[in-house]
Amino acid sequence: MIAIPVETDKLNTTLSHRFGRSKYFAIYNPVSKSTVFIENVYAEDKIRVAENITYLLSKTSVNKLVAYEIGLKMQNEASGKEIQILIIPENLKTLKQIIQLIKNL
Amino acid sequence: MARTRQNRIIQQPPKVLGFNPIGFYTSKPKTVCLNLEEYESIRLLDYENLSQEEASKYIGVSRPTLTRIYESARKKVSKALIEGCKIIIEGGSFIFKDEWFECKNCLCKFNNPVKAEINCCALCGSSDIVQLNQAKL
Repeated sequence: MIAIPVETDKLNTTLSHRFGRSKYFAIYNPVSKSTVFIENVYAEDKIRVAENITYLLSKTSVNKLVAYEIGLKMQNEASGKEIQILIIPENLKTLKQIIQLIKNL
Repeated sequence: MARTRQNRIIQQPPKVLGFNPIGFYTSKPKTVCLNLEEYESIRLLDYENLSQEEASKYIGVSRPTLTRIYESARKKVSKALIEGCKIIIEGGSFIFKDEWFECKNCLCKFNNPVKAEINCCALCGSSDIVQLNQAKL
């Protein structure tokens, strides 16, 4: 399962620039090719954001996360849970573009 | 003979290879080369707001060494800003904390936390990937 930070919970959404502060995460299942959205309830928190988000994502069996950039704490938490980090270039702007690339896997 | 320099630990590769000044200049701008450990010192101290003690542990050097690396980084960045130089981010004595790869097809960079054999891009599946290491940057 792949976690993608997004601005809204619609399939035509744009990606969020800040992983930990994104409003939602799109969780894409490459096997069933389905997408579910989960709200990032920790987006406005001041402490333990990385830890809480990693826990939230691990409950949905996420093993990859996509981001434009990833902070140090989030990177450490992801490494601890063996979640692969994918840093994408700025020309990829929408969820549909990411899903299209993943479908080719 | 001087002691060989210990490799500095870099958490993740930089997003860009450098910066170009904007504006009018009559000749090609001079270039400032920021090495990876200098880039990492700016990232940890100024962007991630770590203390020097914390940042030195991440980079794998003593605090005074980190201070020297950071001072060098700031001098180079200030020279680039004031004199209108290009900044190129490359080189240095470093190793990445994880194995990092770059896909030449989709330009995604990805790591290998489970130390599996990597043959293709984790995003698009292309086999046109390179492993990032000191020789490549």
